[in-house]
Amino acid sequence: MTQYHKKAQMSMVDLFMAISIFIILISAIALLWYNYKAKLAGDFAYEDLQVKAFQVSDLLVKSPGNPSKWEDNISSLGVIGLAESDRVLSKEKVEAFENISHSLGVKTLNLGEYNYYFELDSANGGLHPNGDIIFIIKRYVIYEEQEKVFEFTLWK
Amino acid sequence: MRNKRKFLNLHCGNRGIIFTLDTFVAVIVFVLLLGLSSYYIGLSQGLRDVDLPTIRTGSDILALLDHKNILQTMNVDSIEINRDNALPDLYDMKIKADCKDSSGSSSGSIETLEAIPEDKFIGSGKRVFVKDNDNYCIARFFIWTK
Repeated sequence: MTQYHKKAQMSMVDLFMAISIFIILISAIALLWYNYKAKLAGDFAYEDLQVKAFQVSDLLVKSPGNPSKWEDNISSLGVIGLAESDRVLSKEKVEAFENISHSLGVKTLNLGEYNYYFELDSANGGLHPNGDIIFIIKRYVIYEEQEKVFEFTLWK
Repeated sequence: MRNKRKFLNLHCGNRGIIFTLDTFVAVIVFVLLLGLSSYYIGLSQGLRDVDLPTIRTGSDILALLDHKNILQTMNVDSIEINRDNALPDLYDMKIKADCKDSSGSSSGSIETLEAIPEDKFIGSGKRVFVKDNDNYCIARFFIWTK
């Protein structure tokens, strides 16, 4: 009789130990899941920003825009492009891009929730980077007959 | 009848720990699965890391050489000097160019002297340019960080 009573108590201790280990394990899983989810979301956001920055910079340094003389009439602006030929930038187009509002630039470049800033020689435009995610890309171009660096920043 | 009981010669006697044993086995399986999945997630992350800035820099430098009519000279020394003037110090770059005439026959090729490393990411691309009325050429670049 006494031995049977002792065995029942040992089963309960064993069960409590198993439940404790199980609770610790579930908590560890939940914590890992939360951390991985946050990290992956951050990685995806940065990669999306990076890809968009490359696509937009390609458009700016390779294309004259649409219409090709959009800098003469901003109201007709459809697509922004700064090039008079591949990687050769036009001074008039750069100055026009410098002078348009940031909101118009975001809308025309289809940047969505992102902001932009650019620098080329003494010209600059957009909003100074001030966010959690910032990506800067440098493109090597010809501007005013000289080799210059066109720096384009996309940030959020 | 006397029941014979077999006793394990353990400190705690013959008490069962079935639940805890079961949980330990489950923990080991879980840790193995978690470790394997983390390893493959890390591996796939590395495979996605294409160095886009490097590739874009190579493309830009080749475009500059084309615009300045340096590629058209098909002169290795001239190409190397102008490439080094334009290329940022962070990078090294090899350029190859092959030309063909209007009949499709080869009309010359050049290659700069750098050796492409085997232990780094190599960005590459190509550009078509016209040498003269009768010849078109394809220039290829291979770029890497020093």
